[in-house]
Amino acid sequence: MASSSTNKFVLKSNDDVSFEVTEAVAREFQVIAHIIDDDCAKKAIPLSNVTGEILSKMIEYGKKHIEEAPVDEEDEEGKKKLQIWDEEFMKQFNMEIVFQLILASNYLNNKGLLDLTCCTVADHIKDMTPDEVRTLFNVKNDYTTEEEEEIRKENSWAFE
Amino acid sequence: MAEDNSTAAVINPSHREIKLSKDIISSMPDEILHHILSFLPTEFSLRTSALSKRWRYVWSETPYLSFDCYETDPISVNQTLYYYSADKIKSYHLSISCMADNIDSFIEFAMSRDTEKLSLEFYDALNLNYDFPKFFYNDSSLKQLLVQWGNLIKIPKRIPVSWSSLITLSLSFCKLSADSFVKILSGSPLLESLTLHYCSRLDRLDLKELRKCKRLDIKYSGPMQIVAPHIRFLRLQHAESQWRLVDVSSLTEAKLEIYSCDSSLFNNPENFEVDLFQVMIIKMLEKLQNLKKLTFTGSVILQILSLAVLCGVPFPALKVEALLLETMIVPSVIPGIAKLLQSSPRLKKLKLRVMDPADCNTIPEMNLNSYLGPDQCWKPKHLVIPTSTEPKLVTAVMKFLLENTGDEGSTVERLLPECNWP
Repeated sequence: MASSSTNKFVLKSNDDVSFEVTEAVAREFQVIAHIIDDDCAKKAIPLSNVTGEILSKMIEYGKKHIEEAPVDEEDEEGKKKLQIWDEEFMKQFNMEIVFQLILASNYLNNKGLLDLTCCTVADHIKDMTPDEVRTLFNVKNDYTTEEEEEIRKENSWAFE
Repeated sequence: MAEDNSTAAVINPSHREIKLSKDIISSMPDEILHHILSFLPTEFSLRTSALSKRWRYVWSETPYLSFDCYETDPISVNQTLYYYSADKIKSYHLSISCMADNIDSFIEFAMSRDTEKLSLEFYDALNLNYDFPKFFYNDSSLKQLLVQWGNLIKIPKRIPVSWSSLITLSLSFCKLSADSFVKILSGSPLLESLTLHYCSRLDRLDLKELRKCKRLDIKYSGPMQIVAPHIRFLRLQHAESQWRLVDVSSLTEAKLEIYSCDSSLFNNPENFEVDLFQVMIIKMLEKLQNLKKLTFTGSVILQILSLAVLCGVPFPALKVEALLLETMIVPSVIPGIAKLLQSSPRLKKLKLRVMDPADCNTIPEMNLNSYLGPDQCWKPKHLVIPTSTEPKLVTAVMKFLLENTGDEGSTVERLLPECNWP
């Protein structure tokens, strides 16, 4: 483990912002872990699908989850602490950023951040009528009135 | 994030009012939308089918289903499954009356789609009339099974249980019989984690054959005897005086709690029950000698240890390196804590979490005081237990304990009530 805390890697965003991170933080992202394992990580690792702004946030998340990682499965206090941090972390983003984080954490394969960001979106769909969701996410209704009526009838119990 | 404003997204951290200028969500790939919908009860994910054509079938391919038939008619919910098209289900939760007619078809549906995690919750619990269909006991896809208020007493004689991929089994408020439970365990060879909360009493729980089973969590009415040589983690809550750990030789972490709902048990030194509890805890500690991490929750267990100290019961030496005590600070827990520290020479980390009286099961001290001899008291007189704020309380007690449980244990004696406090 000593090497993973001293080894450094440079992650480079698609708009040419470079971040130096420890190996442990880099390994928080499965895709990067594979690159390291394949020994292809000699110089900077270019990440073609992530902007510097998003990458800096992902690294912040990764760092925190390395530093404050629960001791083990049973460390409920540690998990709770991190969960509170996660909630605060998400509060700073508008929805556009949330979706960018979703795509980036899916691309770099970080399950924790993917869950956190998707759950944030789900929280905005929950308890809402389709109309409210449409307004919130700017979804254009391309059904005819009859079509929509038909769909609502199919599963009427969910729309009551 | 200065450029955010130009995208015209309205930033409002208080969520609900965030509006987007573009329809980003609909442009997400299906797998992302499925992931988002996985956090929602199916009722809400179904509603998204009315958003637009893009969303027409997204819900039906989401490999997560969660139905609560408490307020919804199970028949209409069941009809919804007709439109569901995912081949495999990662997680399927069903909350349903055990009197409902069509539970079998819900379960059959889950099994036909290779469900990995199945969670079944029966709510009109007093009528545990529902017997699981035979096919329920034979499934090779199931990795996690959670049942609440289920009746698992009768597994038809000629039906063996075969849950060949099952890793996690959690049963709460379930009816079990010794025979059915043996069948379940022998049919789940890969089991890693077993949880039994408020289930029928069993005489013996034998996990010898389950070499992968590392985690055992039991609450109330647990088995009298636990044979689990492979488990690493054990949690016992509401432990009863007859419980025995027969073999837990691989254990590295344990969390123990004793709950006393009847404090009158403890107000008479002649009472046999107290001795039983003392014997149980000391015997458990003997079996926990290789433990690295130990948590005691509630004051009762520490109070009983204090009684054991008072009665001169010999304590086994522990190899514990981390000790967490979640308790109220009352004088009657002090001798127990002191003895624990004294018996744990390898202790590196001690954590005291002072619990709120409302959450902490404690034997009223006036009940325990009858055990004290005329010259005895629970705490040394010079130890002042502040009643004010929690940090003060913890600091005072910790400081005292640590000062008095130094290296050699010579000063520790001062903590024991047998000695008269100066």
